[in-house]
Amino acid sequence: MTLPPAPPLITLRGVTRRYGTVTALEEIDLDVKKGEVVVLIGPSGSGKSTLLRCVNALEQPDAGEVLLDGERVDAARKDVDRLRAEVGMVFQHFNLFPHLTALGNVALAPRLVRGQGDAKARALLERVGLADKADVYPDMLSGGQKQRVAIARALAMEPIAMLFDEPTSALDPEMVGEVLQVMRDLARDGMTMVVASHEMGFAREVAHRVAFMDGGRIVEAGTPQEVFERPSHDRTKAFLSKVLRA
Amino acid sequence: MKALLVRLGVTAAVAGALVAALWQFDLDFSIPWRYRDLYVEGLGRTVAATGLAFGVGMVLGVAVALLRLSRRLAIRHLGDLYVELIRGTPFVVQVWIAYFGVATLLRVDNKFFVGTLALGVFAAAYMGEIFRAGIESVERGQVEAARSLGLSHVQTLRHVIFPQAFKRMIPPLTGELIALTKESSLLYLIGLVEMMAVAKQVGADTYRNFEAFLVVAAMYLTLTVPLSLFARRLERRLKRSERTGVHL
Repeated sequence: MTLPPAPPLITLRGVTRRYGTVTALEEIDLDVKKGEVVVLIGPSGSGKSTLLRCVNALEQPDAGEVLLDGERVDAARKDVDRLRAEVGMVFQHFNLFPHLTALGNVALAPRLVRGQGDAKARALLERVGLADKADVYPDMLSGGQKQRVAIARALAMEPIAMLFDEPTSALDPEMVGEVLQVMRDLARDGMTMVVASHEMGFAREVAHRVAFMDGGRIVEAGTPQEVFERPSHDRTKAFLSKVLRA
Repeated sequence: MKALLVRLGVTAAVAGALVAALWQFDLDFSIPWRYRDLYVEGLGRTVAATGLAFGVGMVLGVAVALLRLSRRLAIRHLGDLYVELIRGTPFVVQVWIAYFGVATLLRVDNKFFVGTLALGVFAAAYMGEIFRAGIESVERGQVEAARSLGLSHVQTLRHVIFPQAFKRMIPPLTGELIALTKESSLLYLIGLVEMMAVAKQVGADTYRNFEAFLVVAAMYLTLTVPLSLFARRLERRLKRSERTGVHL
C-alpha cells in the first residue's frame, strides 16, 4: 500500500527512556504520517511498549521529544488530558473498567470529558460487532470481545491516531482473528496506527511500514517486503527466522 | 443450611450455659427495667455519636488516604504523621486531650460535639488506611486506561478508582463501625450520657451493678452482631463475585 505525501502526525526525535541503569529506549527517531500503519516488531523487552507509552504521555522520556500533530507531548503540560484524548490506546490486557457495562466503558470518557450522550458509543459497539453486548459487564465477555470493546472505547474520543500495545498477545488463538479484523477495518478507513505486535501476517498485510526493535533501538525499518524478505541486519534475520518458523 | 443449624445449636448451648451460670446469682432485672427510658436515651446517644463519628471519619479518612497516596514526599509524610499520632496513643488519652485541651482552647463545652469529633478523628486514622489499601488494590492498568482516554486525575479517582475500591472496602469499613460502636463507650468519661454512662449510673443508684452492665452488654451486642453478620455475608458474596463475575 502506498500513501500520499503528508507531514508526519507523530514524530519522535532522539527519544530516550531509562529505568535506573536499564535503557528501555535509546535515541528513537520515528515519523508516522497521517493514515500510515506502522507495526513495531521485536523481542519482548525491546522497547515497543515504552515507545507507545511515550506517545500517550504515560511515560515521560528522559531525553528527546515526542510531537503529536506539531504539539509537544509532555506529561507536565496543563492540557495533557486533551492531548491524551487525541490518541487512542489499546492495551495487551484490555484494562476495561470492570464496574461498567460494555456501553458504559465506551461512553464514559465522551460523557465526562465532552458531555456527550450514548448514541455514538452504541454506534461504535456496532462497528466492532458487539451491539448486542452493550449491557454486558466485561467479565462476561470473551477475551476477543473484551479487546473489541477496548478498541471501541479508545475510538470514542475520536482520536487522530491509535496505539496498540500487543493487542492480541493475551488472547486465545481462536480469538485473535476477530480483533485483527477490527484493526484491519480501521486501517482501511485511514486511521493512523502504531501497533506493537507479534502478528507477522497482520504486519505483512496491513502495515505500510515495519520497524524492528531490539535493545531499545529501532534496528531497521522499511516496507513489510523490505523487512521480511530482505532484512539487512543480522539481528533482524535472527529474530525473523525464529518467529516465522514458529 | 447444615452450617446454619450447627451455628444455631452452638449459640443455643452457650446461651444456655450462660443463663445457668447467671442463675447462681440473685439477679433482678426488674431494677434496670425501671430505668428503661434512660437506657433508650443512652442507646440513642451511642448510635448518634458512633454514626456521626463514622461520617467524620469517612471524610477525614479519604483526605488522609489521599495525603498518603500523594506523589510528594512532604504531603505523604503529613498523612503518615496523622496515622502514627492517632494510632500510637490510646483513645482514652485522646478523649481527655480533646476535652481539656481542644475544647478549652476553642471554648466549646458541648460534650456531644467534642466527644463525637474526637471519635471521628480517631476513626479517620484507621479508615484512612482502609481507603488507602482499597485504592491501591485497583490495578495500575485501570488508571492508565482512564488517563489515556483523557480523563483528569480527579475524574479517574471518582469514576474509575473509587467505585472499584469501595466495593472491596465495605467489609473492613463495617468492622471499623463495630469497633467505633464499642469505642464510643469511653465517651462516658467526659460526661456524655451514652449507654455506658447509663449503666454506671443505674449501678451506682441501685447497687445492682451486675444487672446494669449485663443489660448494657446485651444492648451493645444487638448493635454489633447484626453488623458483623452483614459484613460476613458481604465478604462471602464479594469472594463469589470476584470468582464468577456475578455483580453485587
